[in-house]
Amino acid sequence: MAEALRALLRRGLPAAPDAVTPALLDLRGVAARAADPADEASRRAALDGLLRSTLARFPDVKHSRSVRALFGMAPAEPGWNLTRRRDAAAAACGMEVNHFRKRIEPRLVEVVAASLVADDEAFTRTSAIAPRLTAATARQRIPAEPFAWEVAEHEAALTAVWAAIYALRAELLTIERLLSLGAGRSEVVPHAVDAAWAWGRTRRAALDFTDGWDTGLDPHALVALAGWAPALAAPEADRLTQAAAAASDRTAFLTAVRSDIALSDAWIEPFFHTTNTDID
Amino acid sequence: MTSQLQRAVDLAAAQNPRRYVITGGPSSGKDDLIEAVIAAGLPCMEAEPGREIYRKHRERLGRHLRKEDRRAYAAEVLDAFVAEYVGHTAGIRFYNRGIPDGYGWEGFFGLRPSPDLEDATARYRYDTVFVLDPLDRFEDADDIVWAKEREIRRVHELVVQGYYDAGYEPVFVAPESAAARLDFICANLRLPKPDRNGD
Repeated sequence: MAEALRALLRRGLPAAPDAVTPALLDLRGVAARAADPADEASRRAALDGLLRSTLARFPDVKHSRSVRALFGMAPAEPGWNLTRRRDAAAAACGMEVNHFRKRIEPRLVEVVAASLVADDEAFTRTSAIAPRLTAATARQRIPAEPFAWEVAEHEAALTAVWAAIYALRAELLTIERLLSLGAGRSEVVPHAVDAAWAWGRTRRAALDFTDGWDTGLDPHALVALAGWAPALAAPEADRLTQAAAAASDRTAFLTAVRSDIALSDAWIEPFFHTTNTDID
Repeated sequence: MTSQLQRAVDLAAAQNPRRYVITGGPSSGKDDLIEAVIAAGLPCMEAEPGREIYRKHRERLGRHLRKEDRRAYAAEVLDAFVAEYVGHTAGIRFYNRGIPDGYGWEGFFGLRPSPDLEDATARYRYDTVFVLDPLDRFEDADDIVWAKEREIRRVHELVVQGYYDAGYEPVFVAPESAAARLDFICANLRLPKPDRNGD
């Protein structure tokens, strides 16, 4: 990253096409800011904004004017060559220019590079990781503005999906434990029904979440996070999902699926017959 | 308001309009700062128009706004911001977000800026844009970023990028108390600091 920045430094800002390397244009923070991520010019504009905002917020106050000048922001001006920008940068922190070039400039470039890497990390999509929870120390107030409402609504939807995934996981673990204990069919089947109901609700929640939000996630992959479950053909999966989502309680769910012999067989039998080899 | 600040505002009232945007993502402390601006007697747009428009669209749809719903919503918000802009004809005025915030909003939902937004951005220019960096730290003690805070960070940075895309060089306001932030903004605009001794 520092090497890519040094290449860009030769021309300074605004970022010129021949001074920008893929290492910079491929940063997730750059792609996320670009109006059209597929367009290189758009990514370059996004990189320009990212660098300017990074330099404007440079944490080392003593060298903030210097680093900005070095990259071509005020007190330097667009079009200045590197020698002139370096002179201005050294002057901004009261240093002799050779000392600045050898000792200070590499460190400043490293700090900017580290900021870009941190920004890149912040733009990693982590929606497939359950939200971390900690003990509340205060009531969570949502600021009265649309952005905050949208973020809160997104977190509520994400949390609901994870609640469903963990509930399904609990049911699947119970079945596996019973089978491991050598429990009889009559003991396992009621739990398989519970798991079917949970699976259907989880799939519904995952479909709603991925339909309604731009997550880039596959709903089937989300459901699969709960653990192994029988593989259903699409029509059966849809029938199970519909029955589970419509049922207000377990009895209603059971009533809805009781007569669907094909679905019952497809869901229940694999628990008794599938081996690890089948799964692999 | 201090007599000095009052005099500066009165003097500016007879001059060309000067428009200053205060913006930032959620958790940036914007509402507290807007309150402080108003309390200091500085002319300011109080309520962000997007709130009521969002409520209206959400009520109509009965659910959150999906990507396909956002164009109509964004167009209405843009109209409201343009009306705010042209309604101000002389003197100082602070704005609770500005027209280029639309770049951030639309970018957050994977939309390209609409031609109307680009046109309005080019036509209606603000004098200075103040970006409030978030008050909360993005990272916890274990250096793991929460999903929610990632989203907040993403929104904030897209708003910032929107202003760069629109050709602005925003002034970043450090995460401090609303009073300290207002003092910084006044100093940046060469306005006298508000007096807080009740004089």
